Amino acid sequence: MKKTIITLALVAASSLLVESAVAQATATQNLNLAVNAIYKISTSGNPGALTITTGTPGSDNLTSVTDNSTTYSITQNYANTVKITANLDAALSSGYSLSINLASSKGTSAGAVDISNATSGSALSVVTGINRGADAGQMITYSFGANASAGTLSSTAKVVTLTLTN
Amino acid sequence: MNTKRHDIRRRALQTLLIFAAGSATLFAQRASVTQVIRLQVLELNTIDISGGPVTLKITDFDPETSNPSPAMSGATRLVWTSNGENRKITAESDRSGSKFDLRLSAQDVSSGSGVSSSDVVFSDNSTHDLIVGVSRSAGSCTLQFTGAATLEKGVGSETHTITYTITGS
Repeated sequence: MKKTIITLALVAASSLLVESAVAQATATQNLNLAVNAIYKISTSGNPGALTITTGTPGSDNLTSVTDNSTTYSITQNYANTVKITANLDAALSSGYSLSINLASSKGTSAGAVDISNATSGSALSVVTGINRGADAGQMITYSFGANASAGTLSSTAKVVTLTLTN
Repeated sequence: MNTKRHDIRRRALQTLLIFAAGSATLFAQRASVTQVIRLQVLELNTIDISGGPVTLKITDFDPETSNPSPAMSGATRLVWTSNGENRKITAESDRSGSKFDLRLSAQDVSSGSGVSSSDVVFSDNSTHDLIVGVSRSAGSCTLQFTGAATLEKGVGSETHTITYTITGS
């Protein structure tokens, strides 16, 4: 009798083990991860008016004026060879000049670049070799010059486009 | 059968996702921002003189006229810049009267920066045109002073302060 009870108990335990083994299951999911090329550039706003008010007697080159009140920020993950170009909406008249200088900690600044004649089809590089990452709050310096022979210039709005590109 | 069809769909979806990612890489390779800049050049006129005070001493007589020989100054340069239109440079003495004759001539006016007017005689403190037709230019000229006297004027000395002004015609 005792042997029968033990046998039944072992059978019952085996059943539990079998049931437990059958209850295991797995599932899989495929995750597709992608990071697109990201190009972001922004500025802190518009610079103040650039007004020429004085010159040196005997010199046709009037005293130029500068503005460094604005900054730009960029983020890009595309490559370490990205650049920033600059251009005007329309070229300046002869005798006036506008240069732009973008500071950079992620790339190489070209220094002061004369963009007087740079339009959308002839944008000029102002920062090159920009590494992947972010560069925030970098100074933008504009310098406006004029010749006396060009005459006066009433307040004129010009649009400068900064493009982050590869 | 259903499992196989499901796999095909899944692979197609994966292919689309990869293509979409690749397309984004191809087309999203630039970003732009604009700034508006206001440019302005005001009318400006500047003028300056190189050379110190001019001293004219009459020490000789002209044997033909028996009058004192005029004394001429060394070269003094007047330089100016104007981006205005049709300006002129005037000269004015601070003396309301003059015992001796003081004459000023603007010589060698740089090309395209104005035209010398006739010689200025400072007999009083009125304003005289020295150079006219100054427009959008930087120029220079030599200032030549001549001091003259007659025997009747006797001896003496006087000082003139000459003021040069760029002004509208």
